[in-house]
Amino acid sequence: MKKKRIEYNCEVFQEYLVDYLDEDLPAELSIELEKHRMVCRECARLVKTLRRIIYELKKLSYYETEESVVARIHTSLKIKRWKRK
Amino acid sequence: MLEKRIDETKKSLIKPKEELKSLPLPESELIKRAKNGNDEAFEMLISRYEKKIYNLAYRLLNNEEDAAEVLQETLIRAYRFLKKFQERSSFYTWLYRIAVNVALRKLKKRAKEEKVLSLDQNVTGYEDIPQEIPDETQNPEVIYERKKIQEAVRKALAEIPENYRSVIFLRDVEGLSNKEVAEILKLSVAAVKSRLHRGRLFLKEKLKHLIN
Repeated sequence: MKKKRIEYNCEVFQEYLVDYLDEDLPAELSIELEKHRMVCRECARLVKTLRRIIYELKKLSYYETEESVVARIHTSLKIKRWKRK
Repeated sequence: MLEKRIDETKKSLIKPKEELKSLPLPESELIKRAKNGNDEAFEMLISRYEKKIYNLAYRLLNNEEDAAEVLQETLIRAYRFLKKFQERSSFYTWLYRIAVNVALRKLKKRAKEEKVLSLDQNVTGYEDIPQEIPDETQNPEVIYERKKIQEAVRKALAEIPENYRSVIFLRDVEGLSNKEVAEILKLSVAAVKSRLHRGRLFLKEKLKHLIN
């Protein structure tokens, strides 16, 4: 298949942004997008901000369940009753 | 009232048989026994994951009561459908999928209810996001900053449209792959990527005062 010439502008950059951030792109495409990022302040800023947001999302603290909560759930979850449902 | 409740809780906790208590049985053996109707084995099996499931539901729904309901529904479903579990994935993956589906259904239901309510009144609902953030460092300033950012991220996540939130949650918070998210939400991988991108842009907008 003949390769279509793509102009790597902001629109194209954003189209591939998810895969770009995941570093899940073919090398050739990744290089082209990287070239665009280096000359486009807007896209560079977008990448930086999204990376920070993804980092913060990953760090969302693990909610520590109190044992009493689980115990309370057990109260209403007697296995023998489940059978009858 | 409280004493009665505590008493009921104590009574309801099923004590594993000595055999199960003393031997750390492999999961496959517990599954086998549970499938054959051994309730103690089922109890042992789920006890390994119930906190994780509760945490997952809490992070998705931001509400203790809803999270408890999701855990309850998940365990009931797991019990009912255990015989259909073909062990192609791990037990936790199977349980996790059930929990995510139950939680997402609850989220959708809640969104509908809120929509109906909002016709009559101004419902915010997301103001009281519990702050259960453990201390990470000894430096009070750092702790304060981290808490501030995490609260803002939680709040922003709770405020973005549900179809973006579920994708963001599964991908960025839970760390699942695009393919796994697509399977759970019954979407194409392309749709997952699209929602992920849009959802992240929503978050960017909501967090622009904090992260830039």
